[in-house]
Amino acid sequence: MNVLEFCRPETHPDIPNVWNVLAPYSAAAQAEQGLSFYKQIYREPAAVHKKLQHITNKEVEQINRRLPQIISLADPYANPKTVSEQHCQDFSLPYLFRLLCGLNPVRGGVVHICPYCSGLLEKNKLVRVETRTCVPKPYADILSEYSQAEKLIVTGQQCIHTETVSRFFVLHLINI
Amino acid sequence: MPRTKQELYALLSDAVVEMDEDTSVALSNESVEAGYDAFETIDQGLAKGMERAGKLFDESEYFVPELLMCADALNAGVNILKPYIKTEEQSEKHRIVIGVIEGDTHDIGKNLVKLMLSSAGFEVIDLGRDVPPISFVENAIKENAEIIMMSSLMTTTMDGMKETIQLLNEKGVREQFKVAVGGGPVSSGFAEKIGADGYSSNANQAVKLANEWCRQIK
Repeated sequence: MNVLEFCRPETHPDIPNVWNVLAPYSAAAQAEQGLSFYKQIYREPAAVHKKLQHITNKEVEQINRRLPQIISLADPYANPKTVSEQHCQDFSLPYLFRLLCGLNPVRGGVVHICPYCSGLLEKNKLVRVETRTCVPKPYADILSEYSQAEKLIVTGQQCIHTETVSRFFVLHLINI
Repeated sequence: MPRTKQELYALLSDAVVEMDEDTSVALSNESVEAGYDAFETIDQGLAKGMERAGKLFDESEYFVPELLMCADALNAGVNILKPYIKTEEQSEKHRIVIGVIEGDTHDIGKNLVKLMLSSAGFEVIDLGRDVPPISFVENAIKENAEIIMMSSLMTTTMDGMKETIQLLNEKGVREQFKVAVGGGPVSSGFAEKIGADGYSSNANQAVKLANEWCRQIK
């Protein structure tokens, strides 16, 4: 995923600060070269949870400090071809949700979450999905508009590469 | 009373499926002590377990983490048994050159295919990720491989696979190798279009494909 590809300065000069962010699970997996991380989860689940919490805290800290206007958040190591849904519920979703909850809501900007992650958040009743309609336009334009929002907006349920959308989905975190 | 061979092989197979490294080691030691054939113990016990794990993967009962743990249980047993394999049983392994095509650094899928192929008894020469087409060709020739496997997770890098096949044709060595492609955006239609011999959508299918080709090569 590369937001920068279609949020280029020449087409979207008003977006100075776009981040691709790996959700905590994938950030940990990437740091451990993927396969050995999956084994660690079996062998030392408690240590992995501790690591995931640490990564979540650090990501929240960095994002709140640097205030990117658009964040594209994905969890490629926790995809349905790789790990089971139960595995996601145990090791990926809780930290993704904590990350979202930790972001400063009055900082503004927009967080796009990849469809699989946002689908799981919804399925597990961690978000409520609101459908909004718009005149057909590139999804990047919607992100661009919301990047200027005063309060943080979270979107998901569709691929960031969608070229034209007439509706999009805003996710409201459910406090639990 | 010592266990029969069949009982032991069945338990070894179960140990692999249940991802139980300790039991795999204990049973492999038991097989050695009982004087059972080491190669047969691997083939009929441990490898059968890995085959079952692959089936569970196909059925979405197991996922990547479970397969990795099964492979560890298999390898733990193989390490015990290996020194006892009789020389005449150590037939030459089929060789496969594998890598992620140039421009792409996503290698989870490739690593999993490598692991499954190694567990199935293939000798895998791993070229890593971001591998230029010419490197696939040169290494396949140098290593005297029979199969080339390439993967890609990005549409922008898929053309490199086509280029590899073109290079094999240009060098007049295309017929020496079976070529398989895989990865997120790759499809059987794409494989056919670029002139590859096969496509696999996951690690278990890649093993099936390689086994099928090796039966033809024999």
